[in-house]
Amino acid sequence: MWPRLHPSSLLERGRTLVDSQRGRAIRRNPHLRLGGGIVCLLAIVSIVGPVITPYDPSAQALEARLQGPSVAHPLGTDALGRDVATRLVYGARISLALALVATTVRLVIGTTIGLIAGYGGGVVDAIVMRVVDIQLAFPGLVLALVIAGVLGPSLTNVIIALSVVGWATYARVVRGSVLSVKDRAYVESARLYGTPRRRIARRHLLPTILNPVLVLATLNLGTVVLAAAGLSFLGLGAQPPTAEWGTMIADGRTYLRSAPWLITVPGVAIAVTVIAFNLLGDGLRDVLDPDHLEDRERRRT
Amino acid sequence: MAGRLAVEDLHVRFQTGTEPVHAVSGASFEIASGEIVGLVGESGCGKSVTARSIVRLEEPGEIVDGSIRFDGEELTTADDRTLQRLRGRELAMVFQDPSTTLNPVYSVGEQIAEALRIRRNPDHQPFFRELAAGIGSCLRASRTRSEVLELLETVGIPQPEERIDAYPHQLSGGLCQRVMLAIALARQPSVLIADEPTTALDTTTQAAILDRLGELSAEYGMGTLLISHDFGVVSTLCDRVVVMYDGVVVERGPTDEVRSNPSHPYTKALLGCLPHRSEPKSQLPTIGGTPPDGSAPSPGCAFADRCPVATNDCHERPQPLVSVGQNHVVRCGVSDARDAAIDSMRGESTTSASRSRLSTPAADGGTSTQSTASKPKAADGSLVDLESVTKSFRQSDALVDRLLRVDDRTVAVKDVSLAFRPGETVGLVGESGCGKSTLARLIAGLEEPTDGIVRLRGEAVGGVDARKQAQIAAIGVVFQNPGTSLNPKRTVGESIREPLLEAGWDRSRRAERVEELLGLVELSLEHASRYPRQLSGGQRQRVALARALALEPSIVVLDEPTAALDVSTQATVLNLLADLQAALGLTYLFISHDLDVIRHVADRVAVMDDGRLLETGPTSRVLSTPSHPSTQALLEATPGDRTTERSNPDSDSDTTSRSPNTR
Amino acid sequence: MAGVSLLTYGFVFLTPGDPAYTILREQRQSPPSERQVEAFRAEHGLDEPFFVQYLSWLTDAVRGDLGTSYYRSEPVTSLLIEHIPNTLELALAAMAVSLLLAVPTGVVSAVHRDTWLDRTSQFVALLGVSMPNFWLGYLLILICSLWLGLTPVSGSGTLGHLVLPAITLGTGMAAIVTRLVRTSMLEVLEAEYIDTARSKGVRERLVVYKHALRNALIPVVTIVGLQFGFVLNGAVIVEVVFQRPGLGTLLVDAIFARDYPIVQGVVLVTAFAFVLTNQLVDLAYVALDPRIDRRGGEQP
Repeated sequence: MWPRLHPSSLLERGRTLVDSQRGRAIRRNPHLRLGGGIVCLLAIVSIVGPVITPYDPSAQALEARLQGPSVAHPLGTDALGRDVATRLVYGARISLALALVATTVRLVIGTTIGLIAGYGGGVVDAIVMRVVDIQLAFPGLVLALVIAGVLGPSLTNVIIALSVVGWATYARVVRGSVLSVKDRAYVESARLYGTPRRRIARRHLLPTILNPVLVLATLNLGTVVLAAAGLSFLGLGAQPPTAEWGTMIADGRTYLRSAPWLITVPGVAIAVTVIAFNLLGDGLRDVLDPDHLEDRERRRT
Repeated sequence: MAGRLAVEDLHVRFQTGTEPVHAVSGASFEIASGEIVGLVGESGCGKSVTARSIVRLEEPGEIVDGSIRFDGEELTTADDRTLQRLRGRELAMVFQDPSTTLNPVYSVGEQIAEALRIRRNPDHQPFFRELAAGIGSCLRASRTRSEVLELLETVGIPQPEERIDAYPHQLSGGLCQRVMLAIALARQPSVLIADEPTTALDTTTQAAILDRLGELSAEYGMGTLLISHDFGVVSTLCDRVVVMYDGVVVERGPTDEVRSNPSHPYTKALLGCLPHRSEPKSQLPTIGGTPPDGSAPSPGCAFADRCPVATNDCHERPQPLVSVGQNHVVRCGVSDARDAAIDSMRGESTTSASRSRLSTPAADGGTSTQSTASKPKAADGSLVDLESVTKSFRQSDALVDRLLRVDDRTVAVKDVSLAFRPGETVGLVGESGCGKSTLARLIAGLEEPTDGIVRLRGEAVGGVDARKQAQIAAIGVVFQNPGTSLNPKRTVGESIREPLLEAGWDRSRRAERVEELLGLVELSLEHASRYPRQLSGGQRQRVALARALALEPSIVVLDEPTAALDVSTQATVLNLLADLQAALGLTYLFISHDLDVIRHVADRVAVMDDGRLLETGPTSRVLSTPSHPSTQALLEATPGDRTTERSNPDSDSDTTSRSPNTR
Repeated sequence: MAGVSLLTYGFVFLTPGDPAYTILREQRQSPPSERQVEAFRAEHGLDEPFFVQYLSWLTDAVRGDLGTSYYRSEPVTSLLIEHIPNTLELALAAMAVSLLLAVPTGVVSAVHRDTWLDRTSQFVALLGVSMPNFWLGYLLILICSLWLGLTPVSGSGTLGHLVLPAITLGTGMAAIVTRLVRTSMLEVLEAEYIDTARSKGVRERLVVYKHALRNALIPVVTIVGLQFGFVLNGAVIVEVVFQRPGLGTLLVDAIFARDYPIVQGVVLVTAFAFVLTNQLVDLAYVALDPRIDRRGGEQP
């Protein structure tokens, strides 16, 4: 029927076919659509917002302090007369960037270590996983708090603290999926015809771990946003006058009774962001990783 | 006890993503009390769904049409309370895999006792008393305890006092299945439904359970529905047989009638596929076409597409039920088809096609084939030689144990010596866990022997990493599970190409070879761009075979290559293997637990038990007059109608004598 | 445990900024002289090399002596003993709140899968995971204390003081546990032994609560054990919000004051609490899952 096709073009055909099927699944998933929509919106706001707002996020206007929502200040002003909406938009910038950077660092460290542990096996695996266990066993925020506190309060140090703390989950997930594929017949076959380890890892292992890691990273973005806000709230993250959501809540708490919008607005912003990342992650999981394992094997034996 | 179960024109549908799957589309049969009825068919034919529908566990499917009556009571519309009562007292079910069907957190005694309590009063199940009964793991009420003990004894569990407080994980698969049987019997049911009760068990256990099942249904006067994919299992035990294909009952009748005089083309084909029916080494009859996928219910006969004698009428109109003997009806309106001999049911088209296709590469690539075939001859004698090979594994992987060197080792293969001569097929049989697969891995180089030497063409070889390219190329391996043998993210073509890539073939030669290999395993070029999940189990196994053959090996290790396949698919794969061996002069190590398959394919048989090689010898001798008692036990345990062929008068009279006193 | 102690000690040691200098300066409100710094270091053993410091700290710690606070000149141990009960109280109350909320919700959600009930509880759970708990705390203070006047705003001591912090901390955890119970239940309800139970004629309510729930709780127990870390995480923030004098406030204050003996002490206690909960989880396992050998270790 069709003219004789070269195998590689056949290959292309197959690939686009499958990709388009997956593409449709992605477009159809309601979680993905909602979560993705919100994330896009946030990204747009954080990029465009600072450009269009007439106010400076840190310029004080003491004559206009603690004003309720109005036309000039849609979300009111804070104790120093700064426009809350403007600060919110600048805060989005920081939160998103911070989440992205910290998650990437975690992902890279965790995946590498997980691959080494899973594929190395034996003593290497035992030692690495012991470290991972300690890391997981320890309350992350407390550790991050100590690290950030010791290094001194600043945004960079928050990133460092959160990266050092969070990689263990990735290592575990990656190791788990490496182990699950490592003894599959197709990997054994690859060994049989003499494929070197590095090529087995690239050809068979990486594609398999890609999806669960991607899902984990998306869900993780939300966690990082929360943790970063928590650290800032405690005064260890962004320093005044930088607009950051956690700091905004911390500043607003003094005026809880008189100006409740001061904590409500950034709180809602954080919650919405985290919800969006969670929805996105859940949706991605449904599409990319349909037979995912609940993280029930987290226990060491 | 007048329990009579009648299933009439049952339709069950599953609502999946886009299109509904018609799992059962017109199943009718009945079971009288005291009668054992077998329900046979290949995987996906709807037999399990039918069974589950009877006890109304068809979810997530839904019964869309038809009726199920028990003693005149309609089950398809029964309310929860009625169902509870019927399940608790009349209809008992035993499922396939005993390792997943018993609740892991309750003792077996409690699980049996629960059934007893429900039997006594199905309408009254006090919530907190039941919860408390679950928490107190020992059975206290002495009356119930003695009843449970009695049941355990009835189903043949030795030392019931020790087992009653055991948890499912502490018992073997066979014992668990007996516990399931006890749970069923606790209800003194009128009808017992057993869904593949022995498929997950070893051959010897299987025989014992089936025997007990037969005895019990006679003793209790239960009607029994035995569901199996294995005609052998059904024919040893059942009075009547119901054959299902693609959700439809195509034939039903007395077991002997159906076996000796199968009337539906599908039944004929199914029986014909069984390896033990044919002469060893002969071409097995196969069923042409592809198995049904349950998506499109055709207006005509479901089997018409694969039936060699189908008429136009078959495709268009539903076929009538025709009576071909006493109580023997068949859903086929073509009299020629009904009368045709079993042998005529082989899919002529496929076999002839395969023959012609096979001859081409042998002629074209004659040089390469000949070179591989001639090498072993030059190497004087054996191709692969195992010299008192032993392999043991660490039991504990814990770091501390390893450092302290207190780790115990389990021995998987003990002192095995075995030689493979060029061109022969060696069958390796044994129960699961006997070390068959480890032996295969040792030969392939995935494991290195703890002791002893593996020789390839006279040269000692180590693990795969230490082997030379030529040595790697000399051995091809096909693994058991077609689901995991291919990377789901790579196309068929990519998978087959991999070994060639590693061996350093250039692009155009690779493409050529892939095409050639696909031809060898009777797949078309289109398959190269498909992903494994778009293929059936049989096709995947062909791809795995193609990959194993890519580097022109002289020996192929086949680890249970057909265990996960249906009978008809198995037949085509076995034929293909035979053709390839003839064309390429291959040596096979064929591992299987299925003696019929081994009998069909092997020149020599090696029997393993507990890591040791019990005996080796020509197939016909070992499998007819085994010298080792364990081999004998293995042989006797295999169910099927060769019990009679082996002229075992006892078992034969047993089957017939049981029927009268139950009716 | 040893790893954690080494890790935290190491971190503190590697800090930029000399604690001796910082603390003395703040105490005197003027830059201290070289001699004063030296004296401070000698007093607190800060002039020794790292491993000597670590070992002496460790041996003291084993004997129950965690050093003296730089600031308050009180033994760290007595400060810890003073603050632990408040945090423990909060943690236990929060755990109780979360389990009471989560287990029934999760079960109902799983049993009525894909109905409005399930969707609602799923959404509430998502909300619960996503809300920053410090924010939730202030909202609760705003509504319950300031507007309705039901509970005291901050402090500790009475049951009234405990309610809001426990709810604040408990909801976040409840949300996670709900999702977990749900997935675990869904998985167990698919298991074949559930069909076995149904085919025996067991009534549906018992199928769910007797046969399914106990199996479903096994993985949940693990995660709840691990969640104890989450409670401690949250406790830090919630204590700050409600100004409860617990380990969290102690830690935060100590971090800002660079009062390292206290930081080390709190971290050590947390790690210890963690090891302890893990042991408890193991015990719970044995009770729930007969497959775990009572001598420890899983059978094949």
